[in-house]
Amino acid sequence: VRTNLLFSAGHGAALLFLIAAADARAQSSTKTRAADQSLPASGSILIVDTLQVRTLQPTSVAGPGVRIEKDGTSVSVTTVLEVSGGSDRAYSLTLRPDLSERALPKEASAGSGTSGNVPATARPRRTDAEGRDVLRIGSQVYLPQHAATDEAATALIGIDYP
Amino acid sequence: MNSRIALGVLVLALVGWACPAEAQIGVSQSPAIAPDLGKVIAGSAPTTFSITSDGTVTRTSGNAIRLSNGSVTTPTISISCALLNLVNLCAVRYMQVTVQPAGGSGPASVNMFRIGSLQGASFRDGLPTPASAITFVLNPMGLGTTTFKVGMDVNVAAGAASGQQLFSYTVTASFLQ
Repeated sequence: VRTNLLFSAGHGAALLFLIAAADARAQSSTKTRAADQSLPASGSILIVDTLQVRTLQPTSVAGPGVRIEKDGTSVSVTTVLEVSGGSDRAYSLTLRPDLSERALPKEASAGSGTSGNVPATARPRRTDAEGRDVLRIGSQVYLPQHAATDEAATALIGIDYP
Repeated sequence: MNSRIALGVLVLALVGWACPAEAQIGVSQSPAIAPDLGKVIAGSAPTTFSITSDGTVTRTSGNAIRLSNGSVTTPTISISCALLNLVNLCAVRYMQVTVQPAGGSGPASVNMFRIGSLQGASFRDGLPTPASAITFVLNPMGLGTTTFKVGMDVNVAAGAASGQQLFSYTVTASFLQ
């Protein structure tokens, strides 16, 4: 009986000792190893090239290769882009005119929806007489009905090509 | 008999002491790069795109243009205690989590974080308030995995040069003393 009691007492002491050791170990790791559980994370964004054009009058042309036409309620943006390279190159172009708020009448600028996405249209590519690739894209932005025909509008056009 | 038991206890204690503490808390993100805002035309003024924890993107200031109107995939952060992680008593301890911007000099950066709903555990002090850096405490999570989504405000500098840009941040988990 005496031997069994001693054995039990020994197990109890061992268990307490192990718990104490583990707890001390845990406390120590909190202080010194917090950085070990640090996760580097990230998001991404692709900033594309821009052309900034400004037009004030209907059928005015601003910027190389960019034509903006305005008929009172809408602005048509047509861009002709000339790039060098082989005729088999693939191009990806996007066009999204964005009218600056200051260009619109104050009462029409909020909730008018004029600065949303405008789908770009890409027309078939051709090669001009000098062997340059030519792409023509167009889109249209609608102005509020209250917009005056001589108000300034700014269009930003993003172009992404190889 | 007693000396043999004591020797065994000493050996076990030394083994436990020597176990590495690294990787006792597992922290991961899915997808690896998130969120991906896609193509953006830099504006003439600093611009902020606000991303909710469910991925909706809204331009809240500035004049840069995001070419897509679509939502993005926000990061899902997973935290877990490794199985049989008895050394640190991970499953039964409070855990402090910090989400903060990482250093970087690129034109895109995070200036606000939002923590989404939590799965697999609970906040000790309630849903954290959006801030430029967030620290919150999780109640003991047991042996399962805790996940939450992170929304954020991404700032794009005026006149940023074209190219792929990463906005970085870190998620750190540690035991609360």
